[in-house]
Amino acid sequence: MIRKMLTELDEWLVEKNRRITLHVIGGYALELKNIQRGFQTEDIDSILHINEQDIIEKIQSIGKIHGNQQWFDFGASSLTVPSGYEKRLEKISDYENIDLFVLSNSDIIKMKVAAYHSRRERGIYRDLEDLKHLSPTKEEISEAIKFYYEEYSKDLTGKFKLEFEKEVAELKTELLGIFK
Amino acid sequence: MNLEEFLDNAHSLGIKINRSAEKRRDYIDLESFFLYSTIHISSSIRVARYIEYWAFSFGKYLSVKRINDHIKKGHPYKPEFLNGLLKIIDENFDKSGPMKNLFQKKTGGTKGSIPIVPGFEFKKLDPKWESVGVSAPIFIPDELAKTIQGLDWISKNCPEIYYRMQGISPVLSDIRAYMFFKNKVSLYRVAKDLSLTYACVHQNYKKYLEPFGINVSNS
Repeated sequence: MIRKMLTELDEWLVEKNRRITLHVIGGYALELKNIQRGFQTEDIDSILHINEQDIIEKIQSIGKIHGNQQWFDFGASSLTVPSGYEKRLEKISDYENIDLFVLSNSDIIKMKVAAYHSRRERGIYRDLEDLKHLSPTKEEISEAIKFYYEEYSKDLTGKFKLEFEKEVAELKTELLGIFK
Repeated sequence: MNLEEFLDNAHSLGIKINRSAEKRRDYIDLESFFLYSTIHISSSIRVARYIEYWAFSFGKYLSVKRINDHIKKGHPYKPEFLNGLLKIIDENFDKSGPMKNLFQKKTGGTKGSIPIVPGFEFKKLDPKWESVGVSAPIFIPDELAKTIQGLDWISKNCPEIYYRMQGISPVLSDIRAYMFFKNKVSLYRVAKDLSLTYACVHQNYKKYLEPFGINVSNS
């Protein structure tokens, strides 16, 4: 469905001689990489904002036609993405006027590790499931843990930083136990 | 019913999952779907969560009698997962409600708890699931809008649930929903496909449908 909706958007962009760039993160990035997850996601999380009102309106109208008005997440830019990710992006060349890029596996793993730790307290384990589909190596897990600690401990001080450090160490042990 | 068919039905019954091809769908038996959900709940964490959200949102509209009838006829289901979903439904609605009657006493006699999805260990367990011998992550339904379709969508696309939401009896609701998908079908066919007696279908039809111009074929 999402593919079809993107095709419709692409056709409209071609007709209007317009062009957009998407940096896709989240579940749809895995689908674009043909990583089988057992089911398909319903929305696209893109890091880059789209500011042109007519394009936003077109995206919304496509969503309305297909009964999926939340198919495009414009707010994904608030997520912490590993620095320098742009250099590691992978191009997906299915569309004429949509420059579609997905994060590299190592960057997705970093974001999934962070998401898993911050969301599992609320009982959300889908990030771990996605990690299992990505089959990260020990090194990738260690890199992801490093990224998570460095990015998310920046604003912490004193005992909060120590607590976080302990939690991250436990997370590392847990994940290295899963991804041997 | 395999997982793919189940997910197609889940999509049709208001779960926000993306299906690759838009197929023209047929009537779906809600109670059968619910029982099949106890089979497919273990297929993945996401599927499990979607099923929990569905039970949380629409479980109150299920017919206890029809679930019981299906079980008596040998419909496949997993008792421990059925119990857990009933707990989710009951907690949201009526702790002493009729869903209690569906609780299955024998749940396999396994020692300890079984994981809702194999291969996962959960840090914080959900007490409802724990109480029925299943280890599952805590269920906090704070992603409802992301997971389940709203009333507007349900009213346009899902007569099976929508008629029940209107307070129509499960039997009449099912007959109406069935006829929404079938053009000029005989009452015999309706009775057969919905596992109802002809007399019951006929009575409901004469009383509630025919006076409003809803017709069936004579064959």
